[in-house]
Amino acid sequence: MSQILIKKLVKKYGQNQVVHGIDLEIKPKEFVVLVGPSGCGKSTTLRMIAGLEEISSGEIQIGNKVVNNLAPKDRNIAMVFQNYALYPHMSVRENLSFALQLQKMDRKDIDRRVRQAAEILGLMDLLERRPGQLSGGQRQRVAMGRAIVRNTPVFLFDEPLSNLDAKLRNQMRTEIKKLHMRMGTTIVYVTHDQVEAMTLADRIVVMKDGYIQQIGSPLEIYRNPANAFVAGFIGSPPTNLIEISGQIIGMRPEHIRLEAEGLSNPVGYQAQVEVLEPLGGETLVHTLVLNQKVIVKCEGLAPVRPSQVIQIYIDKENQRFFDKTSGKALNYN
Amino acid sequence: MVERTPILDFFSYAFLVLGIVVVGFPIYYCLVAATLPLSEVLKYPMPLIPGEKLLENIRAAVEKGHLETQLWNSFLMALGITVGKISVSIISAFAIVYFNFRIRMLAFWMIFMTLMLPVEIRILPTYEVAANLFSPFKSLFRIFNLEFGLDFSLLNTYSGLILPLVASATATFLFRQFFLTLPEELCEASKMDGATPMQFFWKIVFPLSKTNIAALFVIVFVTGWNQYLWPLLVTTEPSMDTIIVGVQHLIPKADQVPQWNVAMAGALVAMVPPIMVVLLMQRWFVKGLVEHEK
Ligand SMILES: Nc1ncnc2c1ncn2[C@@H]1O[C@H](COP(=O)(O)OP(=O)(O)OP(=O)(O)O)[C@@H](O)[C@H]1O
Ligand SMILES: [Mg+2]
Repeated sequence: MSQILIKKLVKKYGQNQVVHGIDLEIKPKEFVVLVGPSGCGKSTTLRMIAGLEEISSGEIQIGNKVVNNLAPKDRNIAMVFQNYALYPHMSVRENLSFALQLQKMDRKDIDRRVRQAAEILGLMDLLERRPGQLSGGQRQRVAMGRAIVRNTPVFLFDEPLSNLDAKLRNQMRTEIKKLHMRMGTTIVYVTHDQVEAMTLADRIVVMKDGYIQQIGSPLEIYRNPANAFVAGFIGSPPTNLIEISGQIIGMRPEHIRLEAEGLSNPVGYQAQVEVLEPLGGETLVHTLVLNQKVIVKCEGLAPVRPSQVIQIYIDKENQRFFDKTSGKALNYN
Repeated sequence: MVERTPILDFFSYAFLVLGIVVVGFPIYYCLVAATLPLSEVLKYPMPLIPGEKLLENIRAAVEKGHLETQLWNSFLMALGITVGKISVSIISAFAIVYFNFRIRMLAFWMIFMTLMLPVEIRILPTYEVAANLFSPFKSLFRIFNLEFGLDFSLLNTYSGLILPLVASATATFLFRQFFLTLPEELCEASKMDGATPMQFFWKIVFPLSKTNIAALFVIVFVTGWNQYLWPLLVTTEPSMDTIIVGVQHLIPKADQVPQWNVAMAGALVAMVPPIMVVLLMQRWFVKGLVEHEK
């Protein structure tokens, strides 16, 4: 049984095809994150699920019903927009009850649902305010509240945190996670922030140029990237990709050491130190290996100096190999 | 910004005061003339100190010119034009901005082009149509040597006064520009919330346009009130005269006693309603002109 089923989904703007026949199955209560660089078609895909964008070809099912030709309101989904899209002339309470009023729901039921949502999101004291009188984080909560009151089985989020500052973003990220655990809704979440993707997702869908590159749990994607693009996209700092004798080797910065000790099966490379970036608890050592950039993440302070030539080591099983032309992982099945 | 420019300030204020005097003096002159008895108003030069005959002059003007009917006519006409203009243009702008129909750009450009045609240029054909609503059909039928028997005249009716002035490219354009500043997500969010297009219009677009509507209301009401040429053409019965046309009847003709005091009192009466509208709506009006709600 699937909550959302996408088959050969295509989107064209005129002659320009931006989503190239993607397939995706999302199970009930799953938290799926679409991630990828800017312009890769994440929003377009989400908006086709929402019904805000027409489908050029292919099929979308929600709750086992084909929804290709259904209006957004008949798809039983709610959406949270990047810039919140709150109705500026309505109070928080009116914003939250708008959809329910349109459904001609009972006053009492509306009040109850609004109160529930406001309690979950800590908006009780703000119900009579206008969006213009709220902070960014509070607006974000109202936007989520508008989805919660509708009690739909599916929520769609399009980069909901990208307008917040770093601290608030971390805080709201945890709240979204808690919300998901509490409400048990299916969530499709678009972001280009891979930290958000890693921390929130049950499954991550990595996209590039309108194609799906890989679908998998955060750990699967971290451990076994299907191709060089995914390896380079996920992780922070991202996987080092260097070309040695016709192969691309991927090495995560956190797997590389400055000494061979403690590694069961070390492989060594000669590297020249360029820059040190001490972050307090750890240090990023930027080096050049065969004139290609390699970042090493060490704990504490790194005992090296710029322009020093050193040896770096990595466990053999932590290396990933990719085909030079196709970029496909060689040891991936 | 803190700026200290005493000389510039002085000239700015000097120009401002000069402007006020230039604009204000004729009004003051009219006000004074309306308060003087006939003997004083005919003196040369006319005294610039107000007299005490204001109420008498106003009473004389109202009696002589039947101003009460005319005030009512003007009020109905201005209100009709205002409500009509705003409703038609807001709904056209809504259609042009939010619906993707085939002739959308054509419709927009046609409306935009009529901006360049003032009422006076199309006044003759408009009169033809007002005199007989079916005259376009008549002409069409005549091409095929047929007779179209129906006649329906709008002359000497309120509809005749109002309808031709209702369509407005300017107002449509203003609303369009305003709608384009509203975030697109507002429309999408309302779609997700299950609003139909007309619910989106009434519950979101319309309330957000309130200040613009108020500003437009004032401007359109005042221009509507001040219409002269069209009411003069389309009404012939005195009972349908508007006050702007009526005031003109108060102006002394060659062989009459030159009762300028009464004429000026009539002009004052004609000025009051638009001023009232401006004063009453001022708060909204200014807000709509300068403020952009987030
Ligand atoms: N209305 C449109 N008309 C034409 N092309 C469009 C339209 N909307 C999006 N595109 C194109 O479709 C592609 C995918 O856009 P989309 O908005 O889905 O990207 P995205 O992955 O959400 O990127 P971002 O992270 O920047 O939001 C882009 O190349 C974009 O230029
Ligand atoms: Mg996007």
